[in-house]
Amino acid sequence: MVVALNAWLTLVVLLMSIYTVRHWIFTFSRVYGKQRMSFSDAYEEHPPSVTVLVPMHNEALVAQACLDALLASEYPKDCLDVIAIDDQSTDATNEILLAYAERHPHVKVLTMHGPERGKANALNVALESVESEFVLVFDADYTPGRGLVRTLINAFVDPEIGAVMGRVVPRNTNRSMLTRLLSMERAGGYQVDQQARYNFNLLPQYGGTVGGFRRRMLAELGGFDQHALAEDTELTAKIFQHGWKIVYDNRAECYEEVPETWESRFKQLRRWSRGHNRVLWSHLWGLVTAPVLTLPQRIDAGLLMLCYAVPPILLSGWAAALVLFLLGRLPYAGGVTLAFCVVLYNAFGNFAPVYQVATAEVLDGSTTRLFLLPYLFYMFPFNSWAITTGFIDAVGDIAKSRRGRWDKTARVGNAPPT
Amino acid sequence: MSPVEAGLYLAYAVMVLLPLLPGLLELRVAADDDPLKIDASYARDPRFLGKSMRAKVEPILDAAVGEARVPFLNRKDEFARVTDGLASPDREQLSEIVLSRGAFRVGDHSEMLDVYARGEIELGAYARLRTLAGDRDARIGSHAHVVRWIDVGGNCEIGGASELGQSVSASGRLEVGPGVHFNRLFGKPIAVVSSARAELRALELGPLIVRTATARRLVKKLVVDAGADLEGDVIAADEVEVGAGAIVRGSIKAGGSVTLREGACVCGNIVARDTVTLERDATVLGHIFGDGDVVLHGGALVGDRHAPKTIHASRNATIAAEACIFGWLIAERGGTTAAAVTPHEDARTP
Repeated sequence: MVVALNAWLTLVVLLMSIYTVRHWIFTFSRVYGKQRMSFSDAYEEHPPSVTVLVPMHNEALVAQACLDALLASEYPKDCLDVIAIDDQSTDATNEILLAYAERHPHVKVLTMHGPERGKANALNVALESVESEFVLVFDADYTPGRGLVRTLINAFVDPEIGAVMGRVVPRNTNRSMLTRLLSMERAGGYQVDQQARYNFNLLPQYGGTVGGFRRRMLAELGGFDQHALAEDTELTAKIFQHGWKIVYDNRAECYEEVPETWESRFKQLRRWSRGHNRVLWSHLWGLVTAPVLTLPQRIDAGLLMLCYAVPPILLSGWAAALVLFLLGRLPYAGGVTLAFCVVLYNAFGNFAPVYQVATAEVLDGSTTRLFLLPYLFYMFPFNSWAITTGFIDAVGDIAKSRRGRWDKTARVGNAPPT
Repeated sequence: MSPVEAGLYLAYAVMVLLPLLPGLLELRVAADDDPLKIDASYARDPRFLGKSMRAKVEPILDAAVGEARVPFLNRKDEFARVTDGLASPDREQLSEIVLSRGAFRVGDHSEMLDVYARGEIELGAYARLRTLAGDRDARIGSHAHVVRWIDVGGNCEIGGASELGQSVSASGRLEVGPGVHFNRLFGKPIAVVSSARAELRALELGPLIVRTATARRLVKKLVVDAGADLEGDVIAADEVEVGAGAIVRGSIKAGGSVTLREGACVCGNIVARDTVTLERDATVLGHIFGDGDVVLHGGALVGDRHAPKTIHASRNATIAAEACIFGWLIAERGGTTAAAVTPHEDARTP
């Protein structure tokens, strides 16, 4: 048993070291490397037709702001269709959407019925009535700026690009300590992580919102898996396996609302982890062996797919270390192992390691909010627990072939900053 | 527990909690808790600089009566001279910003700061200026030196051997002479010396523009035979060469360079990790994005009158006489117009 525990602990430390080095490289690339730009300079007086899908379930608090923002877009109205999908809401969402559709001919409402519910299913149904080649998706709590639709669509200048992803920026940062910490996590994840992966031609992720795809490509890939809880990650995996690419556009920024309560955040993380780990199960092997990917891309694919499995792996590593410590059989010098674990714990922190978050905040021009960085260390156990719970859910789903239920993030309805 | 042990535990607790203290102050009196500022009204526009300046100077022009000297925005050292029109001789040095309700004309070897004119603009040779915005046509002599930018509401003609600063944009035709150095040009079209032949071809080919091809082929390297007709997008790991007179009805993405031989045509976009070269009379109806140089030989055509496009060169751009571009030309490391593409520039192409 001691040998097995030692081997496991060594593997965990090795895995964490790989992630640490990966994020160091990302951070250095963002600060010192050449930044790869998207195609936002592409000038089009007559841009292609676009359909914007906005799936909604009980979004009465935020629906209006989202639709108002889309209607204020500078994209030519005759090239822009908006389909607001009411996914069996029980609040006033449907009435709000119908009122908009009545006033604006290019806003259509799709009201969902039937036993199936969830974002992936709603998008699949809506796509049946879409005619334009390019489709953008926004969640209902997003408020896109005037030029955002055009900026995102410009990515499709490149015929190799199957999907585009913009940057998500929390708008309710000043509500609580949680929202401030989430804002920092988001900054690290987009400003540094996604941009660096795009710089290195690795696997920037399609995030399911503030993004879009080619309809023809999605049809080739068989549409969204309607039982997926992380339909965005699933699509990302399929896109890269089939030789398409994803563009990350750091300048395509859009406000969103982050959870304001710990309970809501826990549910969100748990759902993400459950969905992501199910995709890990179904797509990891396909990605790391995909002949269309280069070796660095395959390595990045593996690390990307594993990221929501790392907290339970890390927790198991700590448990192994503790047992070995109590048995007096820790490998190397006991204190060194412990220190190494603590360093790695801090380094990996919250999926966007602290130095990555700090770099992102500096690039964004933040000042005293950097003082909050140490709080991310203490948020890590919370994140780890939520993700581990989602991981266990996913293992149960796979073992019992069950689907899992879509658990919507609660909205508050903050107005976008002016 | 001994006092030493207790002290050690206490010291440990203090060290663990110490990093939290500055954050506690920030949480108590939030000084930096606003969301990241996104300019929601931002929309990309090649003529943004000119439009922005107009929005600022129009109220000044409207408020001033007759000829006047007024403060200019919040600049402490500079004043604006409001006039109904200005015509100056050679070697004039204008030390004030000029806002003209009418025409603006200066002779050779003149120097000026910012100029905005609602009427026609005419600058002699060897003019040195900071910024120029006009609502009608502008004609600028050879050897001009622009520090910042030019934006013209009509057609714009610029003589050879000029330095054009950061950007020159015109809502109409932008015609530049040979030996001009630039960073960004925008016009419908941008013509080097004369582009009549290419413009005539644009009229014939415009309707062929392909937005999204129905087929996609993944290849390592592609050579399209001369005179061939290829349908669909091409994704190549290495370089792509389109033979003389061949036509590709789709877009091209290449991991290396892309070369269009004489008279070849691509009806979609070109995205290349290296140099993009359009030889004599070659045509691209879509955008060109090159991570290397972009070289256009005489008679090359990009875009269409009804669908202006973008050429984006991450390095240099060389545009030969008689080439024609409908839209925006961006050269990150600077661009040059030339009477003809020299062997040196051609040597950079494969």
